This record gives sequence, structure tokens and C-alpha cells, in this order.
Amino acid sequence: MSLIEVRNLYFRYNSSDRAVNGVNLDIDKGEFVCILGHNGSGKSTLAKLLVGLLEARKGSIKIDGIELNEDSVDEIRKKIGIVFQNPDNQFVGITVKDDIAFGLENRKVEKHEMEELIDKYSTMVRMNEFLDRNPEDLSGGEKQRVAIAGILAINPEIIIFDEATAMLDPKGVGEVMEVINSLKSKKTIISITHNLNEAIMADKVIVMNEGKVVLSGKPNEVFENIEILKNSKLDILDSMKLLEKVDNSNINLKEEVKTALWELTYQK
Amino acid sequence: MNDRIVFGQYINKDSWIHRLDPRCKIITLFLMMIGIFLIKNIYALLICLGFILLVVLTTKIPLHKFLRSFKMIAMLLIFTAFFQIVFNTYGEIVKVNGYDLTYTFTLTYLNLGIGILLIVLYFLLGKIFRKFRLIQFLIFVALIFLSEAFILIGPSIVSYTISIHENGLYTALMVLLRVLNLITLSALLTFTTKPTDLNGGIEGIFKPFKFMRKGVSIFAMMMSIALRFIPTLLNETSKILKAQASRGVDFNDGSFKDKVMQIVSLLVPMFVISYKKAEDLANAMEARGYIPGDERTRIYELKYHISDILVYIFLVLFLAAIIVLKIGGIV
Ligand SMILES: Nc1ncnc2c1ncn2[C@@H]1O[C@H](COP(=O)(O)OP(=O)(O)OP(=O)(O)O)[C@@H](O)[C@H]1O
Ligand SMILES: [Mg+2]
Repeated sequence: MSLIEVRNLYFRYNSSDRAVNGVNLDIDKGEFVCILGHNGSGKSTLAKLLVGLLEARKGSIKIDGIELNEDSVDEIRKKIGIVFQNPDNQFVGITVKDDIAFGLENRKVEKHEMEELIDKYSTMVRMNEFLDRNPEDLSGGEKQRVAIAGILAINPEIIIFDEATAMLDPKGVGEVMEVINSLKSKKTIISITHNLNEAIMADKVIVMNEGKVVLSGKPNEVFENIEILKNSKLDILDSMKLLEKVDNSNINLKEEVKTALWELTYQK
Repeated sequence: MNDRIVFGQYINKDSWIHRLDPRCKIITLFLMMIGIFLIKNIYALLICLGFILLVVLTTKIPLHKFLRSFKMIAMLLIFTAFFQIVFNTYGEIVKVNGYDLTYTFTLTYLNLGIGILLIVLYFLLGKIFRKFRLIQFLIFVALIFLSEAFILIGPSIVSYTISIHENGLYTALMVLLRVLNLITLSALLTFTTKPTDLNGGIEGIFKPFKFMRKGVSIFAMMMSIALRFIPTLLNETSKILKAQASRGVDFNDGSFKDKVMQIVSLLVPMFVISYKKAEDLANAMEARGYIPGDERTRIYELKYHISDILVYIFLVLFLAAIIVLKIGGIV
């Protein structure tokens, strides 16, 4: 049994077309999964469905064997945390310490235990010296790290990053990615991203287009389907563009060049 | 931008008032305010003010910060005092050295000219000296009155008499003292208490009342979100102002219609931004397990110390004194 099982999921906002249009998904414990897809392909909607912020019109979501519904949503939210894109809009507390405490307060954790957890996880994301700072005095990357600490403190099994680095400067991206990478062995991670280099490192890549999963599998399997990627309006890696060129020309030793390029792609 | 919000800003210092339990501070402030409202005796109000100022000195917060919070309502106070002194005609006319405080002012054509000249001067001066505008304004008003009292050349347009009555002077002084007392007290609270603590304090005070706990907890959360987002929204506002200014919108000049358009050009993006923020925030809070009105533990647990108890004892004595003096007809 997979940790996350999504079956035949449909969702539509009141106004628009189907935002999620029959999605099936299996994610195993400990996997690092990247979801790719162009703007409006339904990635965020899927993420919000997984954490119970939106209610599916049809289909089912099972997390750790528990079916997501109105009664189980509080239970499920202990197992799954989400970091959103905008660092400012998800910072609830007046100080860093307040913000990390927020989720713990909601779960009625005792004060002394909270202090310990805040200490532990703020150190882990290297924000322990900023506990009394206000969000106005933090960079975007710092705010995102605080958000991660707040979620880690609740100790969920799964963490979703919905373009958590999209609004950051390169330095911030680096800092946050470092934290995310350090979590890879410990948590099941779903990262929604536009960054193909990140996707290459994933255990599983899922490509979405118009609310559907169009590709799913190991990175090398997924990136072979250049046509589908292009149809999904996705960027492809430079090395893959080269690959395509080689594929369409008549140079000799074609197979060797191709193998070499594939190796190049996955070397990093 | 942030300079302007002086009132209600926490000032980080280490003093015994800073360390008091916020519940104690809020309750003491609130009851002292009510007590001060009951006092009608100017000397008693002066004593209160003196005492509060002594306490202010122990907070290690520079006095000019307090002065700045007076500045915000100085205009209002001056007008109230002015109207009381000029128009209140109850009681005897005040005598100084046996002379009635009665003045006659005459508006002559010359005075009218001087007046207009002074007003023009006032606005011109404003372009050069931006500081002390209130004092400048008062000096010009005084000059206009002086000219009407002493320069009596040429035909007069209108002549009027102002006499200062005991009651007016008394009420003006009392209002002034009362407001000074109240402002210093509330500044004392907000300067020495972090917004988070204020919030936790309000929540803590209502905690014993089980039936209203839900409402209070939601209210406290709303307050804390407001506190959290006010600086952010101010930031956004100044960004929009700059963006509009760079497109040639001049927020200082223009006709009434232009002004309305400028305000709309500010409000619409602000509304859109706030709505987006609110939606994101609600999602983030819900995803992190917040259920409105549900019981939560708090990271800032409030504890009373000896100093809090001493303050409460003082508060009881203060209120008792006012009640006793009130019954005795003294204050
Ligand atoms: N709150 C909403 N109300 C109505 N329609 C929405 C809402 N949020 C998203 N949509 C629509 O649903 C579709 C899927 O949006 P979604 O945000 O899931 O895309 P996404 O893949 O996350 O895109 P992006 O990469 O831009 O974040 C889009 O067509 C979008 O316009
Ligand atoms: Mg999205």
C-alpha cells in the first residue's frame, strides 16, 4: 500500500474548467517526488486537495491508509504539511518564534515541549538566532525557512512544497533548497517546481497538463518523452534539446552519442 | 513611513514596567482611566499626572517619545480649551490683581489686511520651515488677535468682547489635564508592552469567563493577524504610491476629481492585494491545524510575580482613595 493514494480525482472551481481532471497518483513512503507543469495546469489545486483545503467533487484521497473526508481532515493534517509560494502571506506569527509555535499551539502542545521543539527546528533551519525578529526584518528565504521549521515541528510524514522557492532571490533559493535537500532521507517530499534540475534528482517525476497527469515515473523515463513534455508547454533541458537535434540528424554513431548525452543529463 | 505611527509602538527597554504581566498592566490601566474620569478636582488631576510622569521616568523611555504622542491630539486639545475659555460664560469673570480678564477686539480694514498678510506669510513659511507647524500656527493666530487688540486705526468693521469666565477656564484646564493623564497612561502601556503580549493579556483576562472564551480567542487571533499585517500593508501602500508616482500621478496636487481618482488608484490595488493575502493566509492557517474558536495552548504563558501583586495592591488603594474622596465631596 502506498503512503498517498489518489484515485480518479476531479475538482472544478466555480468559474473555470476542470482544474483537476481525473488524477491517479501513488506515492511511497520516503519518496522525493517532483510535480512539473505549466502555469494553470492544476498543480496547486492538487496540492490543496491533498491537504484538505479544497474538497474534491469526485474521487478519493487516501493518506497512510486513512480516507480524506470531513471527519478525518484534522487527523490527516498532522501527517501532511504544506509550504506555499508567497513567503509573506503564510507567516502567521508576529515573531519567528510565534510563527513556529502557531501549529503547535493549534495541536495543544504543552509550553515546555513547544520551547524544546522550537529550539530544535529553528536550529535545523538555521533561524535560531532570529527567534524574536518580525517578518518585516526577514528576507524571503528566511521566512520560507521559518515556514519549514513550523511544519517540521508538527512532525508530519509528508511535506508539500508548492513552488516554495519561486519568489526568492538566488541566495534565498540556495538556502531553502539546502534545507529541502537535508530532509530528503527523512520525509516524503512532494515538490511542485519549474526547476528541471531539481526534478532530475527526484525519485519520481509527475507531469501535469490541463488537470491531468500526463507522465509519471523515474526522471529518465519521463524525460524521454520529449513530445509529451513539449505538448505540456514545458521547458526541456539544454542537453535534451541537443539530444533531439542529434536524433533528427543523420550523424554516425548515433546510438553512442545518444547514450553519452543521456549520461551527461543525469550526471549532476 | 513607519515614523508616523508613534502612538502604540513598542519601545524595547529593560524596566520593571516592561517586565510586568500584561494582564496586570491592562487591568490597571483600564481601571485607572475610569478612576481618572471620576476626578473633577484640578489639583487631584495634577497629582495623578505628576505621579504617572514619575512612573514614566522609571521606564527608561526617553520623554520626547511621550511628547510625540501628545502632539497627535494637541490641535484638538487646543481647540477644546480655546472654545471653553472663549465661549463658556458660566461663573464669575476671572480677576487678576483686581482687573477683570475682559478684552475688546476690533476688526478694522487695516487689521483685515494684516490678517490676510499673516495668513499668506504662514503658508509661505510652511514651504521653508516644515517643523513646528503647530507652534507657527499658534503664533500667527496670536498675532492676528494682538493686531485686533492694539492697532485700532481707521474705520472698524466689527468689534467684539471676550471675557474669560471661571467656569470656562476651569473646564478647559480639567479637560486638558484629564486627556494628558489618559494619553500618558495608554502610551505607558503601549510603549512597554509588545503587541503579542497585549494580545495574550487580553486573552488571559477573559480566560476565566468560559462562556465567552470562543469569541475572545477568535478576537485575539484577529487582533494578532491585524498587528502582523499592518506593517506589511503599509509597506505595500508605499510601494503602490511610488509606482503610481512614477507613472505621473501627483498625490499632492490636483482638483477634487483628480484627488478622487488618485485615491481610487490606490484603493483598488490595495483591495486586490489584501484579498489575495487574506486568502493565502487563511489557507496557511487552516493547513497548520487552526480551527477558529478551538482551545489552543499558548507559547507565552502568563505568570504573576510579586511586582504584579504590588501593582494590584496599589490599584486597589488608588480606587479606594478616589471613592472615599468622592464620597467626601473632595474630588
Ligand atoms: N481560487 C480560484 N478560483 C477560480 N479558479 C482558480 C482558482 N485557483 C486556480 N484556478 C484555476 O484553476 C486552474 C488550475 O490552477 P492552479 O493554481 O492549480 O495551477 P498551477 O499549476 O498551480 O499553476 P501555477 O504554476 O501558476 O501555480 C487554472 O485554470 C486557474 O485559473
Ligand atoms: Mg501553483
